[in-house]
Amino acid sequence: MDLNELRLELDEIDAELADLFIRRMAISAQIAEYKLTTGTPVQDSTRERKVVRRFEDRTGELFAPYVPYFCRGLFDASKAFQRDYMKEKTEDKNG
Amino acid sequence: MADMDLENIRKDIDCIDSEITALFKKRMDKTLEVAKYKKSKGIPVLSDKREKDILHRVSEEIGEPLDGYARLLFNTIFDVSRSYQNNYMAGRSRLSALIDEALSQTPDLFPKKAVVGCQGIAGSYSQAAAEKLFAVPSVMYFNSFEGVFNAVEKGLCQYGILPIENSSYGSVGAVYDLMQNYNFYIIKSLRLRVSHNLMAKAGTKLSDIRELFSHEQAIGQCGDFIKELNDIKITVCDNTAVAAKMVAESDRTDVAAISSKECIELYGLELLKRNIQISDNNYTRFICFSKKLEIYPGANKMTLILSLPNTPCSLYHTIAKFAAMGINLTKLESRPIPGSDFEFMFYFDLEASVYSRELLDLLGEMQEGPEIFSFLGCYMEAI
Repeated sequence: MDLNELRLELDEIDAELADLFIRRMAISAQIAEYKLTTGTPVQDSTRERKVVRRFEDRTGELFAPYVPYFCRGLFDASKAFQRDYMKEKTEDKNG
Repeated sequence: MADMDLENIRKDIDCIDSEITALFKKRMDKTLEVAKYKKSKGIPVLSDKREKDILHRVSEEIGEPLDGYARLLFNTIFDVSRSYQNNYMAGRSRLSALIDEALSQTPDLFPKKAVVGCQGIAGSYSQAAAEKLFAVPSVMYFNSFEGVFNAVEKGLCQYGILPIENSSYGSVGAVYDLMQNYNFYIIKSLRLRVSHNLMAKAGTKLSDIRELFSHEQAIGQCGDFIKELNDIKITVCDNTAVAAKMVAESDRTDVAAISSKECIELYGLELLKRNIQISDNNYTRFICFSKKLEIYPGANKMTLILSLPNTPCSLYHTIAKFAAMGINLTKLESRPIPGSDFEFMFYFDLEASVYSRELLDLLGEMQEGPEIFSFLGCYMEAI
C-alpha cells in the first residue's frame, strides 16, 4: 500500500472522528444545560477517571499508555465547550 | 430539565466513546503503517504540512462554533500518533541510555567529602550551602559564576555550588544559561533560608550611610528597607561577602554592606540592622552540579529547559502530557531566549522519578524534536 492510499484511509477515519465529535458535543451541550440548572460544577474528576479506565480497557495494553493524554484532549475540548456554552446562556438570560 | 438524569445522558456519551475508541485504535494502527512506510523510504516521520491540511479539512467539516474545540482534540491526536510512531521506531532513547548509565555508576551514598567550587569569597551564602550539602567540603572560591563552571570543567573541583533561585527574587538566569552551555547536571539541591543584615565599620551609624554595597539579588530582596534610606548610592558587587570585605577595607565611614551574619565576625564589622529582607521566609535554592550525570537514590526532582514552537497551544500540549502522567510541576518559568525576538525558553521542575519508563519515553521524544531541550538532572532537594 502506498502513502496516498494510507492517507486516504486516515482521512476517512478522521471524518468519522469528526462526526462523532459533533455528536459528542451535542450531548455535551445537554450536560452543560443540566449542570447550569442544577449548579453542578463542570469539572468532575471521578467521571474523568472512569472514562479513562473504560478507554484503557477497550484499547488494550499496547495503546493504553497513550490513552490518558488522548482523553485529556477530549475532556479539555468538552469542558471548554461546556464553559463557553454556559457563559453564553447566562449572558442571554441577563442581557 | 432539572429532573433529567445525568447518568442517562452520560450513557449516550459512553456509546459514542466506544466508537471513538475503535477509531482511535484504527488510527494508531494506520499511523504506524505510515511510519513504517516512511522509514523504508527514508522520509522523516514529522509532517507539518499534512497535519495542517488535516486540521484545515476537519475545521471546515465541523464548522463554527465547534471547530476550535475540534482543533484542540486533533492536535492531541497528532501528538499521540507521533509519540506512538517514535516509540515504535526508536526503541530506547539517547536520554534513557544516559540515565541508565548514570544509575549504574552513581554510588549509593552521596559523598561526604569533596572539593567544591563556589563564587565569591569566604562568608558567602554559597559557602554556607556547601557546608550543608557536604559533611567535609573543601571550598575553592572563584570570582564569577563562569569561573566555577570552568573549574569543574577542568577537573580542578569535583562539584560546583551556585544559587539558582530565590523565593522573593526569582531565578538566576545566568546560572541556567551556564548549565546549558556547559552541559552540566544538577546532582543535589538545597533550600537555604537566607537572612540579610546591614553591616558597617565600628562607629558608622545608620544615618551616616551614603553608599551601600551588595549583590544585586540581595539588593532586590531588601528593596523595601533600601527605599526608606534617602540619598544613597547603591553599588552592585559580585557577591555579598565581597561587599562586606570592600566595606571593611574602605577608608570611608559612610559605607555599609548587605551580607550574611557570618561576615560580621569574619571581616570585623558591626551589625547595624538584622533581617532586612522583604520576607521572613526568604529562601535561596542552591544547586550542586557536576560534569557527569550522577543520580543518587531518593532522587525525586527533575529540571528541564525547553523551548517551544511559537504556535497556539504548544505550551498547553506540553503541560497536558505531564498532567496525563499525573506529574506535579513544581516550577514553570519563562524567559526570552537571549538574542531572539522574544522567543521563549521554559524552565520546568517536575516531581518525577527516573524509573518512570513512560516519562523517559516522553522526554526522549522531546530531546529528539526540533526544539531546544536540556535535561539538567534528577536529584533530591535538601532543606
